[in-house]
Amino acid sequence: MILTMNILRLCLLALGARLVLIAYGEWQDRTMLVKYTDVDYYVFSDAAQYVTNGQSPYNRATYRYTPLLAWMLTPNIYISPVFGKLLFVLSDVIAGYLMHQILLLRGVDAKTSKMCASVWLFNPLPMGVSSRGNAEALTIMLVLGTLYFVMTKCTNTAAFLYATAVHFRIYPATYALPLFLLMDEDYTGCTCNRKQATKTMSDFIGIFVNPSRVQLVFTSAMTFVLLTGLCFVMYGQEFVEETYLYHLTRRDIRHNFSVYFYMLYLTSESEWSIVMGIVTFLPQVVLLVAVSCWLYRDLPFCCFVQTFLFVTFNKVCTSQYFLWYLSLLPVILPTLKMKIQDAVTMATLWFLGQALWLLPAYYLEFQGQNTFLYIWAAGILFFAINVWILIKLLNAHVHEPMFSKGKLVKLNMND
Amino acid sequence: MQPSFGGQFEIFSTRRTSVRGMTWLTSACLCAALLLIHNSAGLKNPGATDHAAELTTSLLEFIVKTGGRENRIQHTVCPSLSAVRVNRTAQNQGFHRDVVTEVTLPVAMATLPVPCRLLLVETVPAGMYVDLHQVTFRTDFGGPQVLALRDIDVEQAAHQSPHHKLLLYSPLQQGPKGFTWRVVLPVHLRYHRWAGEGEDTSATVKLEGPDVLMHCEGDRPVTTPCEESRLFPAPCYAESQEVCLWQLLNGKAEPLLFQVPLGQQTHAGLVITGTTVAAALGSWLILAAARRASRVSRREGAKNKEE
Repeated sequence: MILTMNILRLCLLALGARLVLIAYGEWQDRTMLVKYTDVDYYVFSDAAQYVTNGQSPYNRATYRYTPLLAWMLTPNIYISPVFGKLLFVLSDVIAGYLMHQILLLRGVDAKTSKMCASVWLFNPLPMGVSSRGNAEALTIMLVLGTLYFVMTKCTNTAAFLYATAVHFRIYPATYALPLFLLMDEDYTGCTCNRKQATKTMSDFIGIFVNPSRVQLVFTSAMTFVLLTGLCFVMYGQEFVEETYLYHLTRRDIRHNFSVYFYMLYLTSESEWSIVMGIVTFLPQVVLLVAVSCWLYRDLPFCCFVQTFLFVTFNKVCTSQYFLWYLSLLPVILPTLKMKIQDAVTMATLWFLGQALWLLPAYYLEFQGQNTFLYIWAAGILFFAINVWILIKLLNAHVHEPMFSKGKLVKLNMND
Repeated sequence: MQPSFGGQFEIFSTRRTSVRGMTWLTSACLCAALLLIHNSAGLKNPGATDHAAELTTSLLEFIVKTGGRENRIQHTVCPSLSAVRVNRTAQNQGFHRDVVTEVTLPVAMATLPVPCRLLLVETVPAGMYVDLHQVTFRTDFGGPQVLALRDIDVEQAAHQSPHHKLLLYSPLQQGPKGFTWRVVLPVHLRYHRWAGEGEDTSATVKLEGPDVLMHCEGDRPVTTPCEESRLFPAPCYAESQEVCLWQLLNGKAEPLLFQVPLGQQTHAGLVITGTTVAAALGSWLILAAARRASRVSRREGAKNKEE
């Protein structure tokens, strides 16, 4: 049935399903002690309330986002508390639509594109997350918008959306290098620099600098500086600390999925702390740079791998972060040559790894048992499963450059 | 969506009523007098009065911060009561607990001569915190209204946190054994610093019994005169800036003890080695796979470039 409907009807259906979930959530919140709505949504709403009173949104403890989000959610106070959720589910559905359009651009047939987009549109995970009032859908929509406009070669629009995405969340900053590298002669279509020997400094610079790259860097830098500068002028150093520095220097000793969790807890407040900071940072940086340089020609796949690495090797990892790379999975599916059984095995192990972690975590948090070592072991196991999954995906990936002679190249779907 | 309590009072404080000079002066004098009384009574009973003086200071600071000092203080009358029973239990296990407090006024006073209200003052130790937003949700389901005398950082570890005081307001219920007051407060244990070699693998957090205060409306001198050293100023209601005098009742509950599991330094060797090996091995394998993946290029594209 899905395959007979066009993409707009599918999006409307997906939107309808999310609206039903929002309605259910409102009912549950009013009648039960355990709330459907995410704690973060109340944080956003409280911050929006402060903004409507002319105060800083950072008066609300644990608000660690851009003030723009609080500003966007002021209708929560003036119109209805449900406004924010409506905005997030709409962004979620738009993200699904963008996935479909990106796949069509790459030459994937309509049927497969609709199926891949449906993996997101009718997936209970993003449906639940957005209807509970989580703002990840906004960043995901901006990232997909960036990919779309890069593929249609609207460099300025892509750069603007990209800078906005980075303003909202730090993780898209890892796409800067692949985006820059992608805009080479294959992207611009200009072969002028290819055969020249590098004799002078200007020749050397000429290899790296071209109009597209200038547009990319200039537009994204200007957008980011304007957005961040505006927020800094309004809210000062507190904005920088809460929105960016907190996430960059975050050392949460509370248990979480990160492979480094127990190691950081045990070395907190000791002379090893700084060494640990470096040890945890180094693999992330090395891997991100290497992957950027090797895989940039297939930008969606490169971004997927970047994000997967960022999350898997991060000092703190919560289930919210998984959406960051899951949102790029539908877009890379056609480039993966893989048997269904393998895909099912991977998905099963991924869920199993989380379940095996949640078990000792439950006993620690809700039964007060000392299961720290088991949580650590489960964290190592989940990390190993994630590494295995990534390697399988890398092995299954057929790497086809997106651009050649200035034009988008369609995927070869016949192998 | 209701703002947090801290935000609510900041909003009120920006719309202050005009200062009534004499009323403020009277209130300020009374508060100063209370502090003096508590301090001088310390000559007889130093330990109890440290606590009383600390409580008065915290309450006064809070009243000033929330703009209640311009209001007239409402006095209380003090019916004589024999010992009040305070019973405390903790429900659930782990880091998230419910602390149940039951206050029973003795049967002999089954009918109080004047309308009265109760207020619990909790001193939450550093190893624990209360999430005010969670408490606000529970108010709709019969939970108490809670005021925090200071901002509470819900994310900080135990050794980096101070203790804090809470005011719990809840209506009095009439039961078969007289007046009872049952309050359930959700608390959360904080993460503690790891246990060094040879240290206990769990930490103990001690929650002392609350101070039970009562405010009764009426004209003096209907009942016995109030003992000044047992009077404390506090907001009359959770939502108001009016200040009432509250009488501290006899009756103290036994402290509750909570065990918090700790990470252990004896694991450090294994954990650091294991994590480093896993991260290094994982990185190496991924680098190799990514390098292989980047070499697979489009067959037709490769042919085009060769032409």
